[in-house]
Amino acid sequence: MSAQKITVEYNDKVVRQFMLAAIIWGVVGMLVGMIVASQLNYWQVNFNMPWLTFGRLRPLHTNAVIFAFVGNMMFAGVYYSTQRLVKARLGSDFLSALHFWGWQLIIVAAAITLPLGFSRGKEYAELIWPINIAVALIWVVFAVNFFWTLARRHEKSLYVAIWFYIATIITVALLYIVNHLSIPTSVLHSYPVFGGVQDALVQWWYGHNAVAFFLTTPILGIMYYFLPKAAERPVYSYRLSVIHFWSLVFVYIWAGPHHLLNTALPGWLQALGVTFSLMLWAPSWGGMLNGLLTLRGAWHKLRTDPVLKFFAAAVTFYGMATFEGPLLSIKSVNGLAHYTDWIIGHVHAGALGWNGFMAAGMFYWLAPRLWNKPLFSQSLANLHFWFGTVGILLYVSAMWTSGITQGLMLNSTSEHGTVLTYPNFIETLNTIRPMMLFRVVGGGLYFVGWLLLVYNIYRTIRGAQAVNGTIEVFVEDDKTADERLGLGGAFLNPPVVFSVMGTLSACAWMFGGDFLKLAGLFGTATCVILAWAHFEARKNRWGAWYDRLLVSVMPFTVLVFIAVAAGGLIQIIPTALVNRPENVEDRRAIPYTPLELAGRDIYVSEGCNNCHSQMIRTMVPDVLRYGDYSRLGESIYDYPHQWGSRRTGPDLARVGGKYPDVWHYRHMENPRAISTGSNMPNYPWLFTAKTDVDALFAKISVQRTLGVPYPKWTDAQIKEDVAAQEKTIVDGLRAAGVESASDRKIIALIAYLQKMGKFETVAPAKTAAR
Amino acid sequence: MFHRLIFDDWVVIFPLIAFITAASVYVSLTWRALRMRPAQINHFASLPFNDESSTTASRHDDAE
Repeated sequence: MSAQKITVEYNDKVVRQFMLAAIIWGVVGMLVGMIVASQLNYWQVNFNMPWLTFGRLRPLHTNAVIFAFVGNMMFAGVYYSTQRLVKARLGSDFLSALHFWGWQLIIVAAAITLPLGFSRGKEYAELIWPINIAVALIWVVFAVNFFWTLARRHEKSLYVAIWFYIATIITVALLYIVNHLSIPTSVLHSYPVFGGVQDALVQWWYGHNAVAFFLTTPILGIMYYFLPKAAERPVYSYRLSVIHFWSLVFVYIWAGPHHLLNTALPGWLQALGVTFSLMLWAPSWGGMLNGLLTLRGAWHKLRTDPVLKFFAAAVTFYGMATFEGPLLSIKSVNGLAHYTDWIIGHVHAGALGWNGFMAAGMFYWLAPRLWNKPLFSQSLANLHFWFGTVGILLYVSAMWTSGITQGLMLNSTSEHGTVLTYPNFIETLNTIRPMMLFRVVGGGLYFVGWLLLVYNIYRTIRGAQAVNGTIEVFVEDDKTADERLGLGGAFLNPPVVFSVMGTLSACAWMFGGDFLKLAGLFGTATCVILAWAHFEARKNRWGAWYDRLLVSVMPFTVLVFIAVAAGGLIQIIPTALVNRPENVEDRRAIPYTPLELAGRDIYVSEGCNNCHSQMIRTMVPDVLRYGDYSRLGESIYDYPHQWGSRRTGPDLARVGGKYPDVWHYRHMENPRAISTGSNMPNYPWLFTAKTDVDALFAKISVQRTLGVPYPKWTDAQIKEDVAAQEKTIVDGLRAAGVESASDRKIIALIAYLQKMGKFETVAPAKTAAR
Repeated sequence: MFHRLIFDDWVVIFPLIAFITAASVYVSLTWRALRMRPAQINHFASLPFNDESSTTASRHDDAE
């Protein structure tokens, strides 16, 4: 046996870069958050400028916080810890640099396009298609660099943090690609390939799991590495961390439908979403307790060590947010909380408390080590902690109060449930205004705390020498090759074979016809008995397989991929196959006219869905307030769906025909002239900017490809149709005393608003075999 | 609302399937984790330590 001692110098340059980028983007994301929160209190803060309106800035805030702030923080943590856990330098310096600069370029592109109104109209997935492709490519660069590093590793065992990183990389790729599948209509615009309920399901499968696999699993990996380091003691229970990982990976991916409770989403999906959400309590709290108990015997350090303070508080907020999430997924609780500020409070407990505090703790821990100089001021870091904690508590408690208040008011009925107690929506908005103001104060305190971090880190690294960590390792002949599983070995082994056969048999049992059902039942029982017998006879083989899996990156990755893909596909495939226009019963949408389609794209571009839902839930108060509940078929031609997730303003699903055209005209000009106390921005540019009629030919062609039954209109026919409908609206406005040019965006928007809620009745479907 | 192709009558079974699936995962992984040898556990748990022996100044061309 020959052994050679070598020195590995870690690539900490990219860690420093990502860390500094996260700090800077954190400032930007929080600042924009302060602005949008202020806009909800003072409409004047919209400044009557298109690129500063709430509808366009809110996506900038969410994208900046998720992808710029937490994204950069995550990359810094992953790269720092992975190199050390596997005792190897990153796979490629070039790929590391490409990853860093590519990601920053994407963020800059997002910061430019979102305020300009280029949006796909899907929450946390607003970025336009060229940027989507760039994100996918840079994510691949990250993946290659990460797995290349693992391939060069000098430590054969894979610590649990690495498992979390692997799950993050493959799951985010899967989620992002599926939810961003689009057909371009131009360089800056596209329609998603999913529409209506399919789009809603895919969107919230993505949206929920963006939280799970972008904001949670990588940060848990970071927790499992940095918390023991800071506490100077190993994780409380490594066994528990194993259970935490696998149960999260198996369960999290199924819970997306809890974002669509009481909607037109099929009941079986809602039931599945609720059940899996409730089951998330166990692994989440297991992980939280594991993190907190790692501090056993080190609690006294919390008094003085700001790093541990931040970590302990972050893990506590993780526990709080993951308790609240399943709670909000209970259908009756969701009926109260959905579309209200309670959800905003919930996500900020996670974003500010869990992500923000983990970031702060990690940066305070990293800065002295990456620049070889003690932290400039422990006191300032402690002050940051208290500013941040008080800020979060103010923010979250204000949003809880606001959400529950508005939810109760909106759902309140009298006269035995036949009359709304508060029929005027604006009344509920004005009641929560003080809480919305407290939110700005809380967010402001948190932001001040972050500025203290910026100053503290700046003073720490100013004039300091950047250093890279090194380690000496003994390189031996590769003895571990025999211990690793090949890709074939990952599948051709008793646990996997019996599991797959058992699952297939169970599927046949549940979904098959008479014979298949019997065969499936027999097969399932046989698999269980055979597996048990085989396990009893060959215990060692079963155990050895798992042990070998823990040192085998690719088989491990493939199995994790299968675990997460199954949860998504089981929900998406039936929905995509069944929920088509030809299968719709009861009501079906009438395709938009060209002008209405142009108006809808303006609605999407302005981000109206950030405040207005288009989904009347199957709840009495919703029906009393907005009209008959929304049917699945009524949004079947909506690319993208605009069901929304927050009602700062009322639902618009049936606003069509409710008011005359001139009402909408005046309302968009100055909402307060129509609705006293409204916090909606003015939209003066819609009265001067022209509708992009030229783009409609390409847009309608793409919609036809997607399945919307448009005739094969020529460009001239489309323009003729647009002109005729514009004339009708303009004539109506003139009769009401308003003069407007017909080619303005406001006319197209009015056309769209008046279409909402219009449908055709479909004959009841024949249900064979019933 | 739309063709009751397969699912409407099946709603009640989904929570049960979900529970059985998750319970199987929990039980088998808990069993697997509990079966890990103490030496193996200690080895994994100590991986975040002893991962750096010194630091070296970032090279000139490495300067930020």
